[in-house]
Amino acid sequence: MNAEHLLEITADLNNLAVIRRFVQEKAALFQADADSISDLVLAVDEVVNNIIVHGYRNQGGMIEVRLIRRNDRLVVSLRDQAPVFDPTNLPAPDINLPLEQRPLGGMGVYLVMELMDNVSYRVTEAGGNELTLEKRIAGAGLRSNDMPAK
Amino acid sequence: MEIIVYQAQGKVPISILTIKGDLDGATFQELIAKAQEVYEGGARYVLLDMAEMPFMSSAGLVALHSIAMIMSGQTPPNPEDGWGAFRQIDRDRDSGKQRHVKLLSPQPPVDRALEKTGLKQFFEIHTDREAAIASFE
Repeated sequence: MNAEHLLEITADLNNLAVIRRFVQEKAALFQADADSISDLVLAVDEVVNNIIVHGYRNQGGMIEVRLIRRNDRLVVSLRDQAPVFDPTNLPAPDINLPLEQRPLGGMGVYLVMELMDNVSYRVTEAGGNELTLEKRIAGAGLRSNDMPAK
Repeated sequence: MEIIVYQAQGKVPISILTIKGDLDGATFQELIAKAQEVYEGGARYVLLDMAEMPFMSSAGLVALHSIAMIMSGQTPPNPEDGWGAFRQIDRDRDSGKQRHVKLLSPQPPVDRALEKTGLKQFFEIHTDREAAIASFE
């Protein structure tokens, strides 16, 4: 199945639940396993939250959420027109350090990087942001040789 | 999200905040406000019942920390400080686990987020309500 699912929605914290539901429902259509869906929903929520709060500074704007399946992975692309910012370059907190030694910020991004199999960023042709999340799924209908090593 | 407050008596009086719904960027400040409200009403020990909370994002982690500080009589940091809030939690703890705030039945995805972020070590987690109540002292 090569269907693409698209949601264009106003950047509003009250829409976080709508976006989560969208990802949950569409990922299920691709027969993804529950754990993978759960991870993807959380990762998307974290990204969208950051777009709304830090990108658009709670001033509104539009967010585009696009979900496809590519072989053994679900791929979610999130686009916005907020000021250009690459979250993949943020330093990751070392959770093995005592808390008082950890840097500020980055817990949401940290979760995204931990939960996803691949995260990539680019500036769009329109000068906005596009963050792409990939999650390997162990869904029904996949043959064992469709699951290469990570 | 809905928050229902129950009172229980163990070795000490405990306020049980039952969270029904998702704890995310849109709702986490409601939870903090409710904890502040029960604290101002005299509560000093809180059990967060997460059995009916299917989702928690990193905003929820900020809420957990804020509640821990409130129940310890401290002013929680501005949620806008984000991760900076967690830098306080280590300085406040004495034996590692928070004494005034404990968690009941976090769902697997929530538990996973707590684990992944290293926050699980700071909160005692229970799966039995009565055992949780009895654990406060």
